[in-house]
Amino acid sequence: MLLEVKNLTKNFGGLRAVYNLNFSVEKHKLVGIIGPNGAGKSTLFNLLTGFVPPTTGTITLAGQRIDSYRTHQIARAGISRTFQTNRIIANETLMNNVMVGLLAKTQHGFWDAMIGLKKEEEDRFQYRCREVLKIVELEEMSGRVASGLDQEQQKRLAIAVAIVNNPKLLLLDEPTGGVNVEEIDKLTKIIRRIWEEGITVCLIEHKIKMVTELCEKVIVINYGEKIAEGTPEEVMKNKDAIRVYLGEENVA
Amino acid sequence: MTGFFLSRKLWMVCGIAFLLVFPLFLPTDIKPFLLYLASLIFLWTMLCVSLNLIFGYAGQLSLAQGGLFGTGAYVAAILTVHYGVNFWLAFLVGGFAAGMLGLIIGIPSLRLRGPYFVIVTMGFNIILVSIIENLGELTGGVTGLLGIPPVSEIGNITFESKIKSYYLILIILFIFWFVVYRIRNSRMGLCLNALKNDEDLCQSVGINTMFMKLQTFIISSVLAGLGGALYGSFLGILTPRDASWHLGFDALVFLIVGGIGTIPGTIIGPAIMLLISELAQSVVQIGMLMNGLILILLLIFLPKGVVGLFGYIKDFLYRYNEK
Repeated sequence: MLLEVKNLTKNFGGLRAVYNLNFSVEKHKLVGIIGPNGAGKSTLFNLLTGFVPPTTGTITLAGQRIDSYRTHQIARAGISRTFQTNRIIANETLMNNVMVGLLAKTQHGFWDAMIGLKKEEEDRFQYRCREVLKIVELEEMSGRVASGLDQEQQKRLAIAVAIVNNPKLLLLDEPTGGVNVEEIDKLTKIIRRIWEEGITVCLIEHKIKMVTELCEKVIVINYGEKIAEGTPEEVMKNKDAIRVYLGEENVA
Repeated sequence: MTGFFLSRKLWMVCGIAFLLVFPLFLPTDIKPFLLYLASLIFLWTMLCVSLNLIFGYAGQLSLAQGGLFGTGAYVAAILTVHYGVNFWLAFLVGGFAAGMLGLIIGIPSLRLRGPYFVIVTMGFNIILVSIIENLGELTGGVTGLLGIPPVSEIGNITFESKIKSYYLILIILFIFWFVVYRIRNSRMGLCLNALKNDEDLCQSVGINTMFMKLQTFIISSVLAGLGGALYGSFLGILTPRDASWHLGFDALVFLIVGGIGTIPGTIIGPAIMLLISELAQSVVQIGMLMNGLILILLLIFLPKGVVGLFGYIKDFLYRYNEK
């Protein structure tokens, strides 16, 4: 079991964002998390990555308790994420953006700035960045400044930044948000390719078609509680899931 | 051809060459004054370099730079005046003391995001000034510390003449620039730029942002402290005003004028503003008014500072060439 979440609860004052959530993610799976707006999906990601501390409950990554870790420690333990809004460094090149994802692994302190990195080390990192840019099909633009990218390219760049450090688990927060219908297939393909590289992927998505195509397991969340879990076919037949997602009248 | 004339390297070499040969071509009657003014500009530039590192590169606005500058100045001055310590040792101790203070301020305040760091640094600076004012025996209190000796000699070279102290300050400034240039063009610089743009992103890829900010603030403090130590010995007198947060604020204004986050901006800003205030003072006392006016006009027409102007010219010329 790669990720195990037990009795996870988060209260913001009187608001119960996540309540008594239990689920697990097996190694090398593609898991989708769906639910209506405000269901607590993004809060769940924020809890998993330490941006907000849980009120109660435990999170275990590959046997290691991570719920008390700070964000950067969790990232070093192997959980990487993208954000709902595109987080890129607009005034740096694509190459440097991806390099930011590698910084935790490279020496980036003051003395290293004064001495400089070894040539072979530098080459190795450059090579890795190029490799990742190839996966997200941005390789030929690597020298360009990131502010010139469109919405969908920015999404792909953000994914590249997240996977460059070989995470154990990749959390994608709405990878297709604000992306054209034609481009969704491309993103789907890229996510599948990342999964084939051996990275476990967990994604929040609103586009049901993409989730059913990609994911082996789907978790449905509403009001911070898990209401259904299973393969896409199972979930699509689940009455509770249909009710929250498609509305009362569609429950046959 | 346009590319060559606009290349950064060419301008950099020209600028450095100008600073090196500038004292050789001065008319003798105003030479001492101009050398004094130029040295003062360099000392202000050091303060701007330290602020540029923490604010321009790391995006954390510190209003304690004046206090850290003053700490370096006072520590070095007290050591040389009261204890007869060699200037160069006092200079290093001044930088170290400022660095330690940076560490002490940074640990609690850099955890917070948003305006808190600004408020804490400014508050610290106000406390520091009242400590200096009340440690009369050591610091001379409000009347100030007098008779700070000039920079002591290295081997046979003494620094009592204006021109030698000009070159000494210039060389130390070059070292400052070199350090900051190395930082900017390294992994640390990339990390700082990422931090300035998006702290959440940095944390989500495993960067210890608190440690990075603290490290940068300490380096910035050390630079401010070293600059201050030199400043005290250059002026020969220190008053609590030389440690007030206004100094840091003036440096901020200079940086805005020159161009935040750029190395040439750290000298262009102080040079323009100090020259203008000197000129204005020789006519009437309208220096402050001019400063304010220039700042407002710059923010409206040149938000990227004077260095930003080069960018506009470059864009214009390239477009002109294409036509």
